[in-house]
Amino acid sequence: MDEHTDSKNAVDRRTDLQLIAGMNGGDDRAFEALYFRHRDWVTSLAFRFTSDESLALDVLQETFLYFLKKFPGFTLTAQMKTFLYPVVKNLSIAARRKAERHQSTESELEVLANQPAEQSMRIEAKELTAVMAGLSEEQREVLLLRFVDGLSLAEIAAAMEIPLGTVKSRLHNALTALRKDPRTKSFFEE
Amino acid sequence: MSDSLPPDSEQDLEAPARLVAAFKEGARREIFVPATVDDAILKAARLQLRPPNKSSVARWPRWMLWPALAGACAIVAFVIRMERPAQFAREDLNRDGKVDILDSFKLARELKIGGSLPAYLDANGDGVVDARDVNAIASRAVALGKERPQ
Repeated sequence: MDEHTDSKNAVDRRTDLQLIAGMNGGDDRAFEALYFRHRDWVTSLAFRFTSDESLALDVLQETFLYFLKKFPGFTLTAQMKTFLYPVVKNLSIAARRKAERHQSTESELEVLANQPAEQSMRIEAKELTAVMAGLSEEQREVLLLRFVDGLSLAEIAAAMEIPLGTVKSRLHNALTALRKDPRTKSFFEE
Repeated sequence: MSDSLPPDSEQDLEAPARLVAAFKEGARREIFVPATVDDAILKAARLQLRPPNKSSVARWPRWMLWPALAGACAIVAFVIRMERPAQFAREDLNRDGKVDILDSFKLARELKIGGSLPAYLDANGDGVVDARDVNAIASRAVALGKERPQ
């Protein structure tokens, strides 16, 4: 497993696997290092699904509490992000539905999550966001996991629990749509 | 570039650097995580991950230990007493607590049925179950009858 630097000052150089081994041995300091290493990504992903900072923080807590309950005895068989992704997604959907008065479908959640987050975004980024809103939920998800979260295609397949071929198809179709759209085709022009 | 090409080539699945930068900018959102949230999660971790006490009994209050031990001993004694076989006279074949003609009838019946007879029917203790055991029981019953006050 690759080492990652967390958003706080990186003190612990152990890999995720080593930290988990420490946690299985009762080392709460190992969890602390692992937590800060992945905290911001989990929070950001939760916000991507909920579009609500308060809900994102709730999901952050629920995610790591869910993770802690698997100890001792937990075995990490993939990247931490691959393991955490479906957890964060499912908790986010549940949190969002609980917070809203009416039932929300997953597609609605994805559209909300792709609303422009800040007024200070460059026009290009805003255009891209608008075009992405026209993609399917599955295509958006694969794009973000690949180019924002940095997961490999195999990791995306594992996280979303779909075949690798499906990941490739969705990514290909999404990039093709962006390439064809007048608002975003300039990204592909040298 | 043909849209019908299957995504066999990894190049078809790459995005230009400008596009990737735009992706990241669109998804960028700094979420401030309060220290209280961090502290709550880290506290939960300390509780979950620290090894338990070697003995769960060590968690019991001391004042509970001796009464619990005494109660356990009482239960064991009761069980032992219940399971200890009552002491019956050898001739008391039907284990009703007395030696009488019913015991000799029981043996006579078993002898008539035949087959392998259990050792406890050996009323006179000679190692063989036969009619002499019936006589021994009968004699014993008569003797006991004479001993009883009229």
